[in-house]
Amino acid sequence: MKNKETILVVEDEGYITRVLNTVLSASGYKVITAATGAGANALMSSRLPDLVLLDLGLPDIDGIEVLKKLREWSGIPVLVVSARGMEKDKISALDYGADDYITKPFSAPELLARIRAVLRRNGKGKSADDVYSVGAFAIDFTKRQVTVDEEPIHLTQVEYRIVELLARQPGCVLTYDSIISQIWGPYAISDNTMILRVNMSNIRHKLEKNNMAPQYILTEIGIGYRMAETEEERQ
Amino acid sequence: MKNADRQRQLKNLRRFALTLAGTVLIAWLLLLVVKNESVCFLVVLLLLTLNVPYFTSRCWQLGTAFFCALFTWLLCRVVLLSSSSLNTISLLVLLGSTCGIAWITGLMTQRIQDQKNRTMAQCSRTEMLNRINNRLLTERGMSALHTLLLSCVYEVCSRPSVLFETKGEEMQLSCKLPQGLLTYPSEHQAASEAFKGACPTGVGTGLCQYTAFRYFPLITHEKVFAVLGVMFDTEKPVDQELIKTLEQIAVRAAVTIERQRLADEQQQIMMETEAERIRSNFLRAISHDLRTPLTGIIGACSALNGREVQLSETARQDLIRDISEEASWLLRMVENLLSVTRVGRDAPKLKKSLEPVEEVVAEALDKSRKRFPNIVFHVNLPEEFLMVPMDPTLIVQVLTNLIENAAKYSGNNSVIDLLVADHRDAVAFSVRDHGKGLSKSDLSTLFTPSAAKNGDSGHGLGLGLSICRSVIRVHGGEITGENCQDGGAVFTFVLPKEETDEK
Repeated sequence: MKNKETILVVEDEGYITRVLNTVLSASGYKVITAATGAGANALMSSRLPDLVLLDLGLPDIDGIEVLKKLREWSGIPVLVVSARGMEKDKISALDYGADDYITKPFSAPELLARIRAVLRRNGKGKSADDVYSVGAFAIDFTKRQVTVDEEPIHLTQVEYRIVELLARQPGCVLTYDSIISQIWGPYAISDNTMILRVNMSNIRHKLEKNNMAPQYILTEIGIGYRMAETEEERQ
Repeated sequence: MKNADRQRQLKNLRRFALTLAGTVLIAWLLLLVVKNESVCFLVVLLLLTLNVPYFTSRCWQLGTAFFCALFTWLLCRVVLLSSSSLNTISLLVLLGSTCGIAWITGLMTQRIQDQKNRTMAQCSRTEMLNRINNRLLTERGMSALHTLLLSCVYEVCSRPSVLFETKGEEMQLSCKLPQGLLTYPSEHQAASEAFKGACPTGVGTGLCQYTAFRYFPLITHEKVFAVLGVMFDTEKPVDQELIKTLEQIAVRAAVTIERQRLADEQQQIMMETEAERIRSNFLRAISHDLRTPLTGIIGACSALNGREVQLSETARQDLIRDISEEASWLLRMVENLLSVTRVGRDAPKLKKSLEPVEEVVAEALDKSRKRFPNIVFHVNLPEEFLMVPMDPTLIVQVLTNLIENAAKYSGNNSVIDLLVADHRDAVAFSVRDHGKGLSKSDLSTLFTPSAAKNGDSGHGLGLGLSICRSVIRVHGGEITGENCQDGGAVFTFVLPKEETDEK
């Protein structure tokens, strides 16, 4: 029998902790819980969980602070839980090294899928494969070639670099700021995301069958973009 | 000016000629009748005394007196032909006395004239102050009042001026005339000295030397409301009359500004009361809306929990599905309410970012497709790439709210059109259904927050739409709802392409 993965749930509301505990235990994870930031800090270093489910609204310390402190010594994957409308918090959590976020309230299947995706990605690290494909879309990193339905797509230099950046970390949300600083350099004016948005619009026109329902590069509204994950990986 | 001067001189000349002619005539008649030069001299003196004050200058007065006396004396000599009594001494005496009288009466009239001029100046000043006072009193609004005060100062003395306002313990520049006037930090300091000391500072007061202005605190009830600064020429001596006038203006301005403050406060209180009333109405409406699904959920739960009710498996499934549906409706409701707190009066200013229209519409569509899998969406977007400043989550919410409404009105298996049109300085988003359309009573109260207006037990639509309107208004846009000519309702909202301030 395979070892159970440990998940640390940092959540101050007892009811939600109970529900999460039930759902996660039923899905075969070992669950430990902390209701405060201080408790979370202690448990993270003593129990070394495989994943931290971190609520940003904690009674004692700001969730972001917990995340920063954790990232000082460890790369334990962190899935941030936050309410809708807290886009700014989500962005800063992602920029401080959170692996993904999930918006409250969420359904159990959604949560489990995100947990699996984060764990799998973390086990593998950054994709070093030569090719990444999802659905009809494929990108060959060595040939610097993007194809849809095996038809080569002509992308400009910048467009290709954006697609490559996203495809190197499929499933990860990249914030607008982080994409801009990685493509246009750290001194680009990140207040103005216009240049990125225009490029993304062009990329989608070239890649997607229906612009109104993108399949490959997904929008996280108000936060950033995410490359879709392959079906096989989702299993 | 020159013309008036010449006219005055002409008048003097005429009067001189008349006086001279009159004196000579009367003296001659008297000499013929009385044959006594003393009586003649006296009468001439009297005549002069009466006439001299009407000359406007000292020269004319003395000249007239001199010539009248000379001619009378000559006349006496000619008529009486006696040189015994009309010798040089009598001439000198006559000349001396007439000139003396002319001098004295001239002085007196001068004094009276001065007095008159002063009184007139005072009158016109009072009149001007009254006029200013009236204008200040009829002006509405604090900033308009400030501007008016400065323009009044400009009319009075044609000098640039500034007005500092007190905000708590701080002074801040409220307005200045002319608009582009540059003020140095030292001015600010001098103004705050005037505020702290409640006394004039700046030019001519010996306080705060390094300033080009003189500052007048506007004081009522021993409290400084504002400080008026008027530019003075530091090279020239200060015009005390002007200072007095400006002080008078300052007193009047202080009264009007205080009055305006009180009126503003009154207004504020009234608005708060009104807001309180709206809030309680709103809460009532929400409570009603929230209670309905909660009752359903609790009922279903008790049925599922209860041992005495025997439920079939399908019935159990139905109940669980109902609970989940009602709960997610409740959640959407609460999220709507949260949005209201984000766009309400006391909310921090909305942080807008430039967002591509296509991404926002795609997001709203994605959410709506999940909720209404059977509805067919027709989407029509402009070809070119459009970006609009907005809070994307709020606009997505507005779109999903409108789509939810459309779905409710047109049934679950229908077509909903989503249309985005690019106007010159704005972008219009339309959501159109092909249902039965809106009734007349609906049309009139579409966006007012009365949740249960339909009277049905279903979920009211008023709240959702009123929230949509708040969100759109905060974006500086407008939302409308109407019936289409060929059936169905269409809701359209317009977002400006340029950043605008909240309405």
